[in-house]
Amino acid sequence: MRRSLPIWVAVALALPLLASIAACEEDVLGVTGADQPFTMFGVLSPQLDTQWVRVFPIEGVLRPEVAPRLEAVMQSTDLRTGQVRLWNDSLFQEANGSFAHVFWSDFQALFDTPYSIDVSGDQGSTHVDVSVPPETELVLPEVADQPPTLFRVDVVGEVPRLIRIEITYRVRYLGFGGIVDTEFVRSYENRAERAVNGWTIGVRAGLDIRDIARELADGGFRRSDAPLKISRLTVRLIVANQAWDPPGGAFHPEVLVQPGLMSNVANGFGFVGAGYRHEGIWIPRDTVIVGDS
Amino acid sequence: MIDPRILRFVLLALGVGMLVGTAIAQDSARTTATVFGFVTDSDSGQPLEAANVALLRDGAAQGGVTDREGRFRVDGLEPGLWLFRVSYIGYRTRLDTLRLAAEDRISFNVALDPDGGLVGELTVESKRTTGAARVTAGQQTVRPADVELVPTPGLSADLVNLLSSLPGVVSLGDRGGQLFLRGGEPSQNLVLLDGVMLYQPFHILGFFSAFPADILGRTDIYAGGYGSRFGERISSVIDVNTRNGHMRRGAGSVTLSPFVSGLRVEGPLIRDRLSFLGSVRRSVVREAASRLVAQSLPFTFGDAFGKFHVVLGPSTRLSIMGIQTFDRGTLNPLESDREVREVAWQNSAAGLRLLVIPRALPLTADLRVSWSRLHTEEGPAEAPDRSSEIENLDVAVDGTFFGKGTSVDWGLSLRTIRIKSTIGGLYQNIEAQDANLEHAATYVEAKYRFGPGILLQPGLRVQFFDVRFAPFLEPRLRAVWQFRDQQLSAAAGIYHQAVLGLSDRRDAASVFTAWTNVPMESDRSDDVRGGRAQLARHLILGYRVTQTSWLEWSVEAYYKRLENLFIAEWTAFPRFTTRLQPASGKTRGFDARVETRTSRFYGSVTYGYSNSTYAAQQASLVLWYGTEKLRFNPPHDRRHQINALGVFRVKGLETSLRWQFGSGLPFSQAVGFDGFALVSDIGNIADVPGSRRVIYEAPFNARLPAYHRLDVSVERRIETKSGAVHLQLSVINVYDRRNLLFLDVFTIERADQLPFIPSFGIKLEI
Repeated sequence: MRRSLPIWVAVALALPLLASIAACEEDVLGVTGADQPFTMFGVLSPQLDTQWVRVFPIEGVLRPEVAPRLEAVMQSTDLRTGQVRLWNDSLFQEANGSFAHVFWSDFQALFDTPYSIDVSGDQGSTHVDVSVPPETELVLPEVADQPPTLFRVDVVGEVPRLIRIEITYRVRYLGFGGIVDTEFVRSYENRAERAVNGWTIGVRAGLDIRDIARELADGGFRRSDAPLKISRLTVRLIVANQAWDPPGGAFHPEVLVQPGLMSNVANGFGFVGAGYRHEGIWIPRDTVIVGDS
Repeated sequence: MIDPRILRFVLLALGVGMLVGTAIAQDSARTTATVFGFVTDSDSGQPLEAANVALLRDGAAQGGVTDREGRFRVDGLEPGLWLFRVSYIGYRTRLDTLRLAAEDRISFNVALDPDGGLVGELTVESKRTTGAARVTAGQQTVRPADVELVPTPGLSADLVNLLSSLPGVVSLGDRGGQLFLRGGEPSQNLVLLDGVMLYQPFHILGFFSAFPADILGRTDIYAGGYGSRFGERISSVIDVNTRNGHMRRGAGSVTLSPFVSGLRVEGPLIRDRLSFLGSVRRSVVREAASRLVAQSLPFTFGDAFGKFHVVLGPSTRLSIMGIQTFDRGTLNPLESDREVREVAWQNSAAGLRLLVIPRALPLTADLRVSWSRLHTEEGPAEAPDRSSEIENLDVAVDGTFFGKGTSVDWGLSLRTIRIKSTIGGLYQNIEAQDANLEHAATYVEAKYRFGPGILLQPGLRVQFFDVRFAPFLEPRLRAVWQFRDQQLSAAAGIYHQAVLGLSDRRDAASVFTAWTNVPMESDRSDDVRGGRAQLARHLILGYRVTQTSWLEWSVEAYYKRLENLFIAEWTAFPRFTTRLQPASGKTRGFDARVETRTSRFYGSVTYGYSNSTYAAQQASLVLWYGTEKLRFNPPHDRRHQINALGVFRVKGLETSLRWQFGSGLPFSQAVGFDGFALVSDIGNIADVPGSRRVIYEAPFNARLPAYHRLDVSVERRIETKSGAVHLQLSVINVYDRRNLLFLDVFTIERADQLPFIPSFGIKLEI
């Protein structure tokens, strides 16, 4: 006996047809939109005659090849004196073809001075407070025949932070093709210690030079018994304000690109730091160190 | 030069095989006889699977059923006179008497005659081996008739349409050729064609694959929990077997439609000894279908398949097959002002398979030699800047040892793999890679039957990859308990994979897969892949009820745990060139299926619930989100799926309707776009190279709209003197639902799936 089609089967098949009648378009929201209008990046420094801050409008569409319209006004205020400066906009095109709005103002930032920077447009304003650290003095060890095993570097003055600390060793050695002059850079990031009157960096020059000698020998650039001469030792660092503090002390773009990370901008994204460079050169009277000894 | 460790491994595996054979053979061989052979259709010469072979004497019976090659072997027969009976639904039963002496090894091939008067009725009433609800611990068998039920534009029924109708199978849209099975990535699916591994066999337009129904025999789909015979992939197995060409007469077909046009030829080259089956298809979508919708459909694809089948002797068969596929197209909207990037891939493969029933040993054996290669590239049409190629040569032997009440499968495989990629720093900053790998595997799997309804299938697979010295051990277990019309089934296992297919899943338009290997762990390298072969653990529990002869339903729950996945690191840079990060994942869910079939109606409704979660480990995550692991639902996490299929046969017209529904897939919503410049020095910030930046809400925080579509086809077959003509009218996306293919959050450009497309097809068969 042939049985009729069960009702539920008919219902199950009718459902799609009903759904088809009820079908409606659904829009998808790919970009929710930001309340913040701008992103700022830059540095204020007493060592620059002109101050520069790059401004990105926060947009709803990504078009790197199109110059973004930026109807915005930037001004800075010296919070000590109340002096207000209006900044100028400029448009650059980068090597990769993208455009950049960089605001500039023709002044030298002052040591130990707080500034406020505002960028305003139709969408609102973004603000950042930036304090330029006080002036300091870089003190290196007395000149000697050779660098001391522990090469002490002092930064005298009360400043919040030291970043990008690098020691460059210029060495001379007898390679297989003759005398070679070359440089080796060693990072001392996060190695500065607070001292009574500032900061101290204990550069382990003896260990560094031994490592350099071994590196050259292992790489086949120098005979292990050939002499290695340190001809110059350069200390470079940046005296930075409190906010200029990348996580882990490393300036890794893949990490810092995350919005909100190392950011001091209010109602926006980005970072504006303040600081200045120190560079000190230490030249021995006449030093010969034999590597691997 | 083969690694000496692999040689030792091979010797060990052979030793295990001999041990198993000896144990199974026991000591009765010298006093008993054996009957073996092939059972085929007398008309076409096709092997008949699951035919009953029985030897009867004094009320006692010995025997079994034929395997998928139509092979049978009955050992341990006492000397004397036996009644030999071979029966199969829809065929006339064959009876013979055999007088057997001790140590006889009798080859007896049987060609059964179709019983024309019974076939129609019996097919409906017979015990089914396939069907939408007929799933056993993740395994489902598909035959060409099942594939032909699903509406396909242009009379070109294709396995991929059935696959995409299964619960737990997710495609990212109707193009791209990417299928995710129960949470597994496309590169984690093992796709075999007559035992030959294919890497990317699904065409760029989702209705088509390298598997047209015209050439198919039996296909087994394991959504997980597969047995020890399969390895080297951690998610699923699609084991496609083609049929043989007709052994008695020539046949063929020509198909014309606005989507694909195809030609199939087959027939005997030497009657009853050597047959040929060939199929060629080529897309005409770009030229024809695009006119039907007044929209550019920039896809070109095609495939060519050929197979020779030779009867070498009474107990030996040889098959040689080759396949070539090609795909080219772009998934970006052509209206976009962005650079048009094309993706293209070609599969080439060939295989030789020797089926043997040895006289002297109590086993059947398959010897396989296969080679396959995938070349894929992406970039501007004239000068693609990324390419990846993977090639493998495999030599394998599989054997089944027969004992009393049990059988043991054993196998050994040696595979050499060559990977050659130029991926422009896309992953792990790898610019170019050229690697040669050697993989070896052996397995033993027993089938124990307890009483009439319990089948226990424990197995162990031992795989040797270049990742480490020690082999990977993979215990597996499948169990089935059949009681009356109900069935409980379960499967569990451990799986490893040492060849990776890397894709950037954040960009749905990028289906480019870079193939790479897992290198050995090294102190000198910071490669996150080092020593980490992908690992999966599967657990499946299913219940099935055959309510009546026309109604069957089943439910099945599953859990997959995945480790050592490698995904692109999260970044706010608007680019897809980045480093890899390790991740783990888990997928759990269940399927519910119901199927009914009568002579005039076929219907099935399936529902799938799935929940996939990845946990990524990236060093920066603590800084960004305050957590060491970032948990998110990957872009293929489709929570709900419904597939309904109805086929009505009225007055010579066959009308098929398929409705699919899928809940929205995860994507990462942006808040907006700004820029980034690294402030790391004193100076003019204009001198610092800047980059645009995406301000994301959170990784994969939102979901795209749901997807649903109704496809309909109406087909009529008209018999002619020399064959038949098939006419088809079909409509894709009947109610013109605007289904999203992908959304470019950077430009807010969306690409939609195919709109309402009416189509037609004609197929001439001789």
